[in-house]
Amino acid sequence: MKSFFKTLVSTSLVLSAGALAQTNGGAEYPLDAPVGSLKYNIADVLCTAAINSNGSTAGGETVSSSIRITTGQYQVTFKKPCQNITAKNGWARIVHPDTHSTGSLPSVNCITADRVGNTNAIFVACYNATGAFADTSFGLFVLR
Amino acid sequence: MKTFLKYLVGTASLALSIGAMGANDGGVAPADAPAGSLQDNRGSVLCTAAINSTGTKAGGNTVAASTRLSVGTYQVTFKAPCTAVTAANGWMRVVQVDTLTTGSLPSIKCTTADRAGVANAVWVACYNSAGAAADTSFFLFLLR
Repeated sequence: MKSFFKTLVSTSLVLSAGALAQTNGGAEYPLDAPVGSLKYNIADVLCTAAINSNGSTAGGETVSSSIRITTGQYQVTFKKPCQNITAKNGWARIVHPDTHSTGSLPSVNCITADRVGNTNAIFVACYNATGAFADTSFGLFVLR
Repeated sequence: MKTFLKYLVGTASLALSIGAMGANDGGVAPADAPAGSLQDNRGSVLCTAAINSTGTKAGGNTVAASTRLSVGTYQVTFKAPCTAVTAANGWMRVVQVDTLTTGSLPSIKCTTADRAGVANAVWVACYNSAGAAADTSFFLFLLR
């Protein structure tokens, strides 16, 4: 019985982690922010990251770690000077699909968000032409 | 007959060249790069280009040449300080679809890559909402 509960708790944790990863703490629609609530941003690119489609870091000295959470969804964590990089703190981000090499990519676009539970990270979600999650390599720019 | 054969060979060669050019030597998939293989990028925008949907250069003092290779695919070649602008050398790029004037554009997105065989150039591939290659005007930013 004790073992059963242990398994149940473990399963719940896994499910929670899954839900957290795939929803990033919010539904899939613009959450927006209260008017004028974000701190000022003077558009200095302070950190950059080149991320492979499997989530590995191709380049970026200020990248602490990067992972592919699930298909088309990534978490890129930064170190100094990019800490507490939430939109509320005045950080802005740009993501752009790029092969990091020659070749070409199919139609794909990505969006960004604060990463729930990790203020040093950015959540990136990428989609193909039909709107389905799709893996891609990309460049990520963090501005303050 | 000789003229016909010459025409046939010429046409076939041209078609093959354009086909190869359109492929950008890597297929339509994330090419990725070995983890940690790209040189660092400090996020400074060193060159910009404003490119028309026909491939002509609307603006950009550091643009050496620009051309529309086929529907929705472009080659933008830069001069100093933006030479050898490969991802491996630490260059990153961002495309922003823009009319370059008033008006509006339909849903369109672009991806970027190194240009096979031309280290001073960037490959840009643009798609409409159905995922088909589509012409568009755009800004291109190169960061190092």
